[in-house]
Amino acid sequence: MPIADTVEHASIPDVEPALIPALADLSESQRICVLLVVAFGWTRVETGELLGIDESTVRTHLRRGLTHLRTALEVSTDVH
Amino acid sequence: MSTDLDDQLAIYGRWLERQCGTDLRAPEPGRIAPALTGVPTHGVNDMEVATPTPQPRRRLLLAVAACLVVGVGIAGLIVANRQFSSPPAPLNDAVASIDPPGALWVLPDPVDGYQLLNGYSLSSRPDPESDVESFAPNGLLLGVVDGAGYIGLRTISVYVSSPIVNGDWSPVDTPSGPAFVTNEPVVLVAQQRNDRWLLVTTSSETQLALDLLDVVSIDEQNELDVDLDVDDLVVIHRYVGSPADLGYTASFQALTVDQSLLTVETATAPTPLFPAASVAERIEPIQINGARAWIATRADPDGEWNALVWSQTPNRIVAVSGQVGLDEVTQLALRLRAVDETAWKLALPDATAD
Repeated sequence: MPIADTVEHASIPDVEPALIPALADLSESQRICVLLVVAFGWTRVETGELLGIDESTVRTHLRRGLTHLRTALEVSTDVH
Repeated sequence: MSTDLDDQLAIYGRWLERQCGTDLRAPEPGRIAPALTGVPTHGVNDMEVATPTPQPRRRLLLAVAACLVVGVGIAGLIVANRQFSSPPAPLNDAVASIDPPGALWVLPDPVDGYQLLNGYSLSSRPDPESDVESFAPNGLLLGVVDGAGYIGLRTISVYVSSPIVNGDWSPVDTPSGPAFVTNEPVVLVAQQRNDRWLLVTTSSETQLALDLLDVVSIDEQNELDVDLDVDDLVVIHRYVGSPADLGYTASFQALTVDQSLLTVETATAPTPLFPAASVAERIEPIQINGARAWIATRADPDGEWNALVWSQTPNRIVAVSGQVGLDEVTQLALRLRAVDETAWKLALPDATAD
């Protein structure tokens, strides 16, 4: 089942609808890093320890993930 | 509705927590401190397989994995999932910070089902003067994300003198300047940068090592910087000092009743990653008994090679490997116990030593 299908019917109040498919578009590592750091307040070091990767790699995943999300949300906002 | 991305993700995060009924916020300081930095409490002979016990870190890992699966359909935070699907390895917090004065001697217990042979030990340490001479204080292990693991493994180290000492090296031109390549026993590529030398190693294609030279730079403090926007390359580990300090080695082979041959090796090294990465095509971190371990794999022409490697103490690594399935590797790893030198030599009477 495509990832997007698993969340298609999820109703999340106050969350921009485009966020969920945009999250689903991220790589697994990017998604985990973005959620842990931004949504849950983990530090990059803590996230790196959890994933077994260097803090600089977490930073890279984070940068790429957030860039994709911002682009997706900007497009979505423009459309709406 | 807020369109600020941070706000959106925070709202989404709270929704996720409600869905899972779990607090996923950042752990309190020290809550997920690396297991290998614990306070020493017991001797090395206490090394035993620890029965998995509920720990805050493990509960948190499980919660994170479960909730992220629920929330966005992630196939699994495999690092976390693997620790619950894998049996415990002989890692134990109680001995995590103790370095034995010599080699770390280990044997399977019970030894039933294994014929032990080809024992070997090395009781010398690398010359510290030569270490200072040849190694600048940092280097990197890099790879390309492959699911929960990494492929395209490459190490890069800084030398203050030429690492071209043995072997058949060939000159090659690269966009970053002339370099020298040898392919035996693994791919090594050396390149001079001003008064420093870079040495790249990989067990993959030579081109991977050459490509790394195009994206790496070194500053006046010998700090390496890599353009990580290229080819999904990530830094897996950053090291200080020599990663190849392999003194105090003790190894043997174990032959199973099915004639499978496994190798057990302990060595002095700050991380198991570099020995593993130098011979593996893929590595994957796992979390066992609160400590980090790695699965290393390689597809050989005559079968799959698997290894399980970990740091038993901050400077003692253990590796169990063979052209056998990972289950067989793990089974032997689970049986390993620390013994004294006398017991080890009694079990391996024909062992050689340097």
